[in-house]
Amino acid sequence: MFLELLHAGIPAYFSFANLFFTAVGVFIGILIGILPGLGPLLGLTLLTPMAMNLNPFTGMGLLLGIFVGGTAGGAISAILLKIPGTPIAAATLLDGYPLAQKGKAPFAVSLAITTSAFGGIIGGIYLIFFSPLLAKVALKFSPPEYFALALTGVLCIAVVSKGSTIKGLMTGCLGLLLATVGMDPFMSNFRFTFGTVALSGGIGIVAMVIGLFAISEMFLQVERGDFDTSPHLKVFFPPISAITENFKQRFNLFRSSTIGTFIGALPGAGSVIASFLSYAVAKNSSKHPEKYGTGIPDGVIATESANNACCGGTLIPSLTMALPGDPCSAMLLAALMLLGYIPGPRLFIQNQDLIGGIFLAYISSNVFLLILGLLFLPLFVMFLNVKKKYLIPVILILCAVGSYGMETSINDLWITLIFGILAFIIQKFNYPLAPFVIAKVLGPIMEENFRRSLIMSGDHASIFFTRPITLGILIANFILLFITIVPVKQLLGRSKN
Amino acid sequence: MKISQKQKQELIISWCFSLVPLIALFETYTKFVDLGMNTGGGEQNAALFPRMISFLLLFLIGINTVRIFIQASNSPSDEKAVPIFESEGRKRLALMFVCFVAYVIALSILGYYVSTPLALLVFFFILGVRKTIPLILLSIGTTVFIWYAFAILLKVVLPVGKFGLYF
Repeated sequence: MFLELLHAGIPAYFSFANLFFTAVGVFIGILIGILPGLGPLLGLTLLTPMAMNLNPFTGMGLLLGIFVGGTAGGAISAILLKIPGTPIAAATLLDGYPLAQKGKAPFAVSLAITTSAFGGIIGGIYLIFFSPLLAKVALKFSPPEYFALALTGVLCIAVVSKGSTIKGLMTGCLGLLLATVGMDPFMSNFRFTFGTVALSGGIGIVAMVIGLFAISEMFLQVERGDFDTSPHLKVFFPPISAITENFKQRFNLFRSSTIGTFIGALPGAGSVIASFLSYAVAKNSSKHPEKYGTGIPDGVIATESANNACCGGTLIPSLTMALPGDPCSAMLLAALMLLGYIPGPRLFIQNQDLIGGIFLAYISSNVFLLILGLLFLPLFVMFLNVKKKYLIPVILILCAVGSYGMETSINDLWITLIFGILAFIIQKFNYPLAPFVIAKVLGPIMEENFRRSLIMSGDHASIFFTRPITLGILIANFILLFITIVPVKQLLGRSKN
Repeated sequence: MKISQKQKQELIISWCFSLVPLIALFETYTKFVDLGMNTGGGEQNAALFPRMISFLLLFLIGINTVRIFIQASNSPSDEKAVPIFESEGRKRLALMFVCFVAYVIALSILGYYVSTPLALLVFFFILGVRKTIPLILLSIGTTVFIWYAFAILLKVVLPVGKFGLYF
């Protein structure tokens, strides 16, 4: 089936405009990724309004490019400054920074970029092979199964988010509740619009996410200060040995990419877990584990290949079952919806060109990462020297124009501002924002399938407990919730005492 | 049982969350009833899902409250409240926030082409750019760059304001 998808995707995707915007996405993604505190999600939120004005293939190419570039970009600041541009690159610090301290900064940074690209390509191959298979299985699902899966998506992200699980669940529920604002999906009635036209179309996901992640982050940066510091890094060029090192360590690269893809495919797990896990596996299976952490290329390869392969992994459940594993894939899913497509297994039948195009855009993004990452490395290093006082105002205006540009509505700007303030406050009390976004994206899917299930069963809730797959997913959800809410370890400890 | 300042703050924030489900429940039990949207099965009952989530959220807020009280009784602490606004950056943040709100208002009155360079000028100044020429060049340059990206390349109609200014 994957060949059919690729066959349909090739003529649809391979045009100058699509490739150009994918390359632009990668370039912008790297730029945003290397800036500490910013990451691929900010890039996606800022450029989604722009992508919505392009054709679907170009728009998705741009967004996938940002996703890939932003994920890889964080490694540059992690290696050079010991400050990961994104939390995803935190594990790269372990060996990347010591390697740079040994005077091998050009090698370390180039290795991180090339490894990210190769890892991403391996993740992309898994995506191309496995997502059609999973979509085939998912095609047999009915509304009860989709409801249970959407519930899994919200629960998983709430459980693994930083802060307490209860807080994650609270923000998740808030997201689900806000997703009900606007027109009822079955009857043409408006809900919770309070008589205003502004809310009749619901709360715009882009306006909301820009507020939650971009505006709040900018306000936090303004509050923190430190606008004038610049690391004064010297510009360097990439050595060829960084590419050959990947071939020397092909087994490490392949294993780490496989781990990254697998972890990425699990809802809620994400790149951070993937990179630390693959680092641990690489260290444990190494003949010289004591050298890990002292600045060896093996550690950089393990973490960077895993976190970029994770992007491919996270696209598998997102595309096949509309189950985003992290806020970035939720944003990609939201973009797909805004472009007029309903994510899920039917896309693999009805819009083969789009799915094939997404596969190719993802692989192309990684190829561009390899080319542009190395070609413009001196520029990226120079960009790290830009002071925050020049960046924050530009990002704030981009937030405002991006939020306005989606619907050309000033009301969206107010929504952005309100969510920016909300996120600014609740983040200080460790309330995670990721469940909020995922719930907002999954909310309509969840409600629609919940109500469809009831229609199927003649309004009997028993439908959720009599279908084996639904029951299995719900039991798994219950166990997950039980393990995380009830402190099992403490209980076991007490009983032993 | 002694509740620390931080725990009190946690309780207040948690209870603030209850405003949303309470408003949703109020709507479903009043307006939805008037419009006949709260009855029937899965198809007609528009109140079913929001009510379910509202009760779930209230339940979670209840659990969180109990958790904080248990924590307070088991291990009393004198933890101070988390400062919502850091004292050092408070003024700068307030100024930036007010200016951003003013910019949003100005967008609908003056439009993009007048309000954006002015807003950028103020933002850059607040963040410490003091030299006149870079300040002006950065403000105008950024405005032109964003205009070109959105209005020219992507054909997005930027806010024209009450005076209908556009390029």
